[in-house]
Amino acid sequence: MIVYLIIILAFILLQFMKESYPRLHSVIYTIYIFLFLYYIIVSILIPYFQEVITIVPTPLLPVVKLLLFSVILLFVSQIVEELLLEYEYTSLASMMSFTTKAIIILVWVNHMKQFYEKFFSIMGLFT
Amino acid sequence: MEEIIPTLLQPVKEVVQAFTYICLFGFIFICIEWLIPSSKKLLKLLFIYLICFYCLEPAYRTLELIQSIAAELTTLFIGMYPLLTAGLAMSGGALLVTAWNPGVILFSSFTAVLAEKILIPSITAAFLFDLISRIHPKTSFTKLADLIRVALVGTTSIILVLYSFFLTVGGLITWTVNGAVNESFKRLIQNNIPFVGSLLTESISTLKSYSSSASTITGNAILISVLVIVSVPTIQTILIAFLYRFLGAILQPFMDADISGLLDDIGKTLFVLSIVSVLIAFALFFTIILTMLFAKLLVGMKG
Repeated sequence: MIVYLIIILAFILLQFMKESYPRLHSVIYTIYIFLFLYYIIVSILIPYFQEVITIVPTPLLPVVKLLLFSVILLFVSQIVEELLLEYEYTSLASMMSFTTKAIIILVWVNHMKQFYEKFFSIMGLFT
Repeated sequence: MEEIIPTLLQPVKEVVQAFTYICLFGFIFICIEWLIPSSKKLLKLLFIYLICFYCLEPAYRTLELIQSIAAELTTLFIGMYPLLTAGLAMSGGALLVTAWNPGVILFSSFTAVLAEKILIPSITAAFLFDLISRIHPKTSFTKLADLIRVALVGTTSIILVLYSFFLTVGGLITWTVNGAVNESFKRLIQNNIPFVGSLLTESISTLKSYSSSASTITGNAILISVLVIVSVPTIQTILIAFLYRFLGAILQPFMDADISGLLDDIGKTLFVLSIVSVLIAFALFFTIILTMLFAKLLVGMKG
């Protein structure tokens, strides 16, 4: 509920800002988006995910943590990307998207070491 | 029996666990896809990774089990058969035994080596091709995997036909099951075990015809015990294969076609593995029977 309220308030304030200081509007808007994103992650998403983690069975814990990390990263990158696209910084947006995907793939590949070991042990059956 | 049942039920537990994991992760991924629709492809890839990580364990283990049994059997043949043959020759009664064909020794050792060196690696290859086809559908190896499976079934059926050439019934019928019941039982297996059902019934018939003559040497109780023991890996493999196909069928409406297809393909490959494991069971069965025959002849000679 508080998130809806903040969004509505911000919308009204940004409209005022647009009318009174149109030059500063884009800078204020960008700062606001980052602050709001920080607020959502720190005070809503992380406490909620910490609560979720406590009910997850131990064998699944590493994967669930990884999954939550990926979700937060994808969520943040999607918002920043849209912001960059809004200001027509297309190259920066695609770099952002590429970096996010690379980080997620690297982290997962690292985590899946056991699977690759099994995979290669099966390949060993050919010898 | 107390040890055989948990051994057979262990894979069932693992597959049920895999089912729970797939359902849980499926639900989580559906939620995430709904929240972040722009990353659908990436999420699908991660989901397939997770399935490979958590749900292929029983399939891997079965493959490794059959592989290790085949390897040990090959070593056993190399070490034991010269000794056995010499022992049988020394005891002097080898050629008097009903339906005894020395070619069986050579042939069963040849099938074990064939299973270890060619058939099981080929199944592994089919398994990997299926996995690659599902993880990256653009690089599809489905036809190659199917070709390998069909070729393996063909090879195995040829070997089984050759086995039946070697094993001739010596006129002693000890298989007491009524013919009609027996036939309907065969039909049941043929219709319900996909892909390798008819081949499996033929192999059972071949084994049955040999056991009719072998029971004169060993006695029915021992023969049945040996049959149960040697057929445990085969039954286990068939059970796991069924469960994978069942899992694929249940998950089809809820999951991506590639995921249910992957589980279905693994089931098919494990059915082929089960028929290869029948060959190994054959070879193991002959080894045990021959050892018993040797022991019996040795005791007879001393007596």
